[in-house]
Amino acid sequence: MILVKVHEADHIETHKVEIFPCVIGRSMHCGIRVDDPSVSARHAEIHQSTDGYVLKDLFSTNGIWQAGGKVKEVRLGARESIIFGDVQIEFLTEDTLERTHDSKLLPHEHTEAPHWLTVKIAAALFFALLIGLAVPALEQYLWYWPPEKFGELAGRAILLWLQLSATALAISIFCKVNLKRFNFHKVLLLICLSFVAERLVSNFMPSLVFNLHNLTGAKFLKHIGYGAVIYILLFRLQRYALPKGQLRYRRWVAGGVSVISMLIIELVIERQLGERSRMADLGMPIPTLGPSQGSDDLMFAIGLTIAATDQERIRQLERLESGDD
Amino acid sequence: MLAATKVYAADPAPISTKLVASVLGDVFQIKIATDANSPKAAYGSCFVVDTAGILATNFHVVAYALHDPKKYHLYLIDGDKSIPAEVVAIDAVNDLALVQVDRTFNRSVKFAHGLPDSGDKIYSIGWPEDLNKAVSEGNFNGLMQAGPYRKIQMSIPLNPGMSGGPTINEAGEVIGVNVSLRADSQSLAFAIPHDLLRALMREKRTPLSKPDDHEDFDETMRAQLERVQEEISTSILKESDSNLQIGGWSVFKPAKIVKCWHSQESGARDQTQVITEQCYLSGSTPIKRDLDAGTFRLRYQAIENRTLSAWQFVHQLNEELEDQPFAIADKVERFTTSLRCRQLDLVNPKNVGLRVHYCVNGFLPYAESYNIEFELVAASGRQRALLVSGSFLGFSSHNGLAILRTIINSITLDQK
Repeated sequence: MILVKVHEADHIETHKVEIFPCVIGRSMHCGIRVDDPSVSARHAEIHQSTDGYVLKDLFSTNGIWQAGGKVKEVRLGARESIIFGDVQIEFLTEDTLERTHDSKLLPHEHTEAPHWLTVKIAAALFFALLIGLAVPALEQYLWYWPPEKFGELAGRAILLWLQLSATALAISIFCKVNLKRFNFHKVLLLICLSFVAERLVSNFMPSLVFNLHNLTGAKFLKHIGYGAVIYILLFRLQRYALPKGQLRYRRWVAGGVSVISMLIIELVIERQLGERSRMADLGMPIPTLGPSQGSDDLMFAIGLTIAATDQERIRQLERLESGDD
Repeated sequence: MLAATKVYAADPAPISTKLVASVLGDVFQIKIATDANSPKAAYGSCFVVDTAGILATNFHVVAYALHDPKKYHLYLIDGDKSIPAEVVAIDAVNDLALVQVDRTFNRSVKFAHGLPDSGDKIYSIGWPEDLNKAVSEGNFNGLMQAGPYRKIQMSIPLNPGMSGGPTINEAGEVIGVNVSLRADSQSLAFAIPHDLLRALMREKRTPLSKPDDHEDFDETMRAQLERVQEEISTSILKESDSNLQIGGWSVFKPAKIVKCWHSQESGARDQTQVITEQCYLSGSTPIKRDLDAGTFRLRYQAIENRTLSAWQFVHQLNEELEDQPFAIADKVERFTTSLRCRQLDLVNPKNVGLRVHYCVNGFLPYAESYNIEFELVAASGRQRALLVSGSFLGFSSHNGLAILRTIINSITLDQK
């Protein structure tokens, strides 16, 4: 464990670093964020090696400076003070902490409450419920206003809510997502996971998915979901595949490839899927994905309606008779 | 033959006029009113078919007195007198009724042996609009058969009130009973052929407009409705493999008994192209005013999308499905149950996905007699859709369902 104290203009911010490697930079994706124009988006990185911690410059514009000289790499001793552009950052290793027993050095804001999982699950469910209610309501507003069938509206809302809350739960449990820092990647991950979930559900409960497909923009979101999967995979994989010097372009590479893939998905695969998926997108009943009812079910339904008509007829005749007498 | 006709036409004083005049005395006016001295609630014409006091008229003329015998009574107007009359036999399918009065007549009409040739002169007698007794002259245009309904087509200016009066040939013999006039036409009128009337005269007569007992009438009506819908259903289902090709779809068409209209037009701003095929049975069994049974109609609309986006197209289809007015009258006062509607998605055996919207109600007095109406939409991608709507009035559940099943199961998307 390392303590990092960032000396900003008006205060000192202390971070406790336990997971390595940890990137320091101006970007909000960095483990330690330093909001100063002289600091690069990804400025430097802390590694853990067998014999301690190492700070490496990530080809930053202004570099890292130790004792008045620009360095590429620093082995972090018990207490080091490094300059990042115009910002001074102090690094304190475990040895120092143990020796000084300086409890004041430990930051308070990162201490997890013991019931964090419950809080996260509740929050995830709550947000998913909000989205689940808002999306179908918006859809009704755009296409079928005024909504005539509130029952159907509620049904769709519940379906969407279940889908979203299940994925939000999965994310918060397995990915240890801190909901306070819900960034772009995690939103994309949520979308793509929700569509993976949808694909799974479509195999077992086709009529449920048929209803979901009635949602406005479902196809658009679905394709963004596909794009997000590709983007995240490429973004992560490039770290292992490309030489270090080219890593700064990996965002562009991942973005470009995912856009091209989305176009391919749209133009080639979707067209190839043909009638079936397009019918689903249209919100029309479709033979294979749609409801499995046949004309016998219709006959049965009409039979029931006729039986209800008969009952009403008998009731009304009785009423007429008693009224006449 | 042709020369002879010419001689007739040129004759300044045709013999037929006198013969017509001799029939005039057999035609009376009939009124439906709350009592003998009250003004009429409805009126029509009738004519003597049996000197023992039996007159023929239309069923729809006397329907008031049959459905509401406590309130309305039937009177024969004989000069200044109103003689109480009673309905003794009906044939609702052919819109015929026999009325009995408590008096004898010196003479009755003569029936023709056959029907005239097409183009022959014929005459209709009756009391148009409650004015003077009138004779209309016109031409016989042959017989018209639509399923169980058989009518004489003629070009005669008929007017309301002449219903139930006789249609006679040049020899003064009855060939039919005036029944209806096509509303938007130039004197295109219809009469019931006399053989149907004679068949009714051979049937057993029972008083049907008794104020205290409805059952005989209801039972007679029920039996007749049952018979006519059975006949229609049989002839529809017999042709279960006849198909109609419309805009890339193949659908069922009961070719023999229906008349169809075909049209092709563009939708608003040329966004869609709509091909419509509308078929109907030209004939129905009157039950009471504005309420018919024993008939059906079917409409197919193949819609081709030209410029609309998928969502707009689907939205429009859904609107069509919801907007279509239903022909079934909801809750005809004390006569039908309320309309029950439902929507269902299904897949037919030809693997076409359908969204079906249907409505059902039933006639209170006649068990096993229902009005069934449906609309459905089938879409093939974002380019083509098929809208089908139809109504079956006064059908049994068994037959209604069988026909509906045939129609739904036959919808096929032609693979190009």
